Amino acid sequence: MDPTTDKRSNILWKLQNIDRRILYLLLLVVVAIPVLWPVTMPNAIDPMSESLWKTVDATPPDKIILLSSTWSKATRGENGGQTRALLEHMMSRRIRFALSSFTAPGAQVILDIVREMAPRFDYVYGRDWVHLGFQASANNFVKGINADFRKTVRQDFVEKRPLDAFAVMEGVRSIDDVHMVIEISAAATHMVWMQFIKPGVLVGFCPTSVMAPESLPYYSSRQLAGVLWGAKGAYDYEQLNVRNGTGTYGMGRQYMAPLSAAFALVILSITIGNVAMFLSRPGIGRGGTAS
Amino acid sequence: MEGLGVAQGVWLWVAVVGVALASVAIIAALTRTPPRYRRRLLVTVCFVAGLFYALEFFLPTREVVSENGMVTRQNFLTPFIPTLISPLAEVLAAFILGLGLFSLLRIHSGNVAKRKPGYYNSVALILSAVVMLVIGLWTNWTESPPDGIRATYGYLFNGLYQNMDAAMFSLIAFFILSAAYRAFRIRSIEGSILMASALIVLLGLSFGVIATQGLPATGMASNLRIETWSSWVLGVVSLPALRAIDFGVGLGALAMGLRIWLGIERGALFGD
Repeated sequence: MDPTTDKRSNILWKLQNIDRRILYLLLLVVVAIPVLWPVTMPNAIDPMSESLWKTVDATPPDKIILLSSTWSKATRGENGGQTRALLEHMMSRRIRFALSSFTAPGAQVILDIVREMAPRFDYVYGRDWVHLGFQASANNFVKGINADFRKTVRQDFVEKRPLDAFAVMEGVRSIDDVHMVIEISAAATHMVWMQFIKPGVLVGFCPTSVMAPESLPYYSSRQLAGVLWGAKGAYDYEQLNVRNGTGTYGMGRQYMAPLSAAFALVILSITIGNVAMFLSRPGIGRGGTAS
Repeated sequence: MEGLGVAQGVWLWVAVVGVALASVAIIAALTRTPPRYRRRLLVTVCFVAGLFYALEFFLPTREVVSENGMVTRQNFLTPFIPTLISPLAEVLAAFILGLGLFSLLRIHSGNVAKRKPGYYNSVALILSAVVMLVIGLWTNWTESPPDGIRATYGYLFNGLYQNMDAAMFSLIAFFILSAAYRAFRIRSIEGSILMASALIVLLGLSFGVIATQGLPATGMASNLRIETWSSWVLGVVSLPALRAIDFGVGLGALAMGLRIWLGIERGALFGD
């Protein structure tokens, strides 16, 4: 028999060379099932998420939170859930906040979310929250607000009026009047805050899972007050909200099961490939060498 | 200190046209300048710009009380950041965006004019850019844009662009699965360690907690929970490596920054 034909017919060889289209189809199915029939996944809350929740919850009434949104719909599965969970917590506690962004889409996505959630909590633009808009020069923005908000941001994003026109900004002159900054991002933009913000100001970071490890050194050194690790971080925060009566479950819980299913498929496919490779080694099982 | 004034009405248009003309004149003059002098000019501008930040950072500061009673620590350069440097940087960023758009349209217009293979993609790009530009500017220019324009902006930005962005990004999941399946083969001890670490972290971040959720959350037995393993891998094994990489990257960035600032760097930046 032709050795090539023999190799192709070998089950071990096939298990090491599964057609990518089959893998794509499997992924589609395993993700679609928990999306269509939601499953609640058990979860262990990460201390980094809990630390962020406690820091937000400790916001004094005379201070605001600056929420920086540097993401687009591309990462809404992770950043969207984080944003909603954070906002729900802040709105239920009547914490005033300002929005800003280092990217143009980021300014719009968070505005849409706040506008959707605000009526539920009777949050009024200008009284309870304000949008500082897209800041093209990130480092100058941070250095500027360290000293003075009004000289750095001439007008708001929504109504194009000076910041003095908004009640929410009363008493908020510089970063000293901000309890904490929370950067929700698809990239490592926490570095802008780490490098340029006035020392002592609390910073929280909500990255996508793939960017989260880069923030670990700063959380470990307490330069970051807390970190939400991708979709799991959103789920953690929702659990903390539910536990403390400051919110409900949402995207975090909804996306945890599909995410887990996808992870399971990744682990399973890697295991199959490796077991097949091991068994096809000469002397262990019949078959060719691993590709 | 007073900042740059915000022009309104007719003066805004005068300012826009004036700045555009001045920019074109400066670029034209730079293009005609002999490379030797142009390089010196660029190096000088770069050095002065960098010197501002270096001096602002290193010079001693003192407490300053503003007219509204706010106390800040600053030196004589600090007030220029919100009033001059920040607006200047925003203008530069906007200018770079415009330059990028101009370059993009120039290249793709050429593709269309010469009917190069795939020129219809260039047509789509030009159309998308122009339509989004017009609708976007129209929406943000006036306080109350017509309902049709507002709705079109909503369809284009939220309905089309944002969802296409999400769709493109979600495709990565398929490639990650395929790549992980093909590339993650244990062929060495290092590969085995890498695989074990990845599996522990993956399990700790997802369904792995199911397997060990029956174990106590405190005490010795909690060390057997998968999330404890995951935290250990991230906090004890991975963290020092990340710090080492950060130090390396930081030193490299510092060296590169100094080379650019002092005009030593050649190549695309200051090449003749």
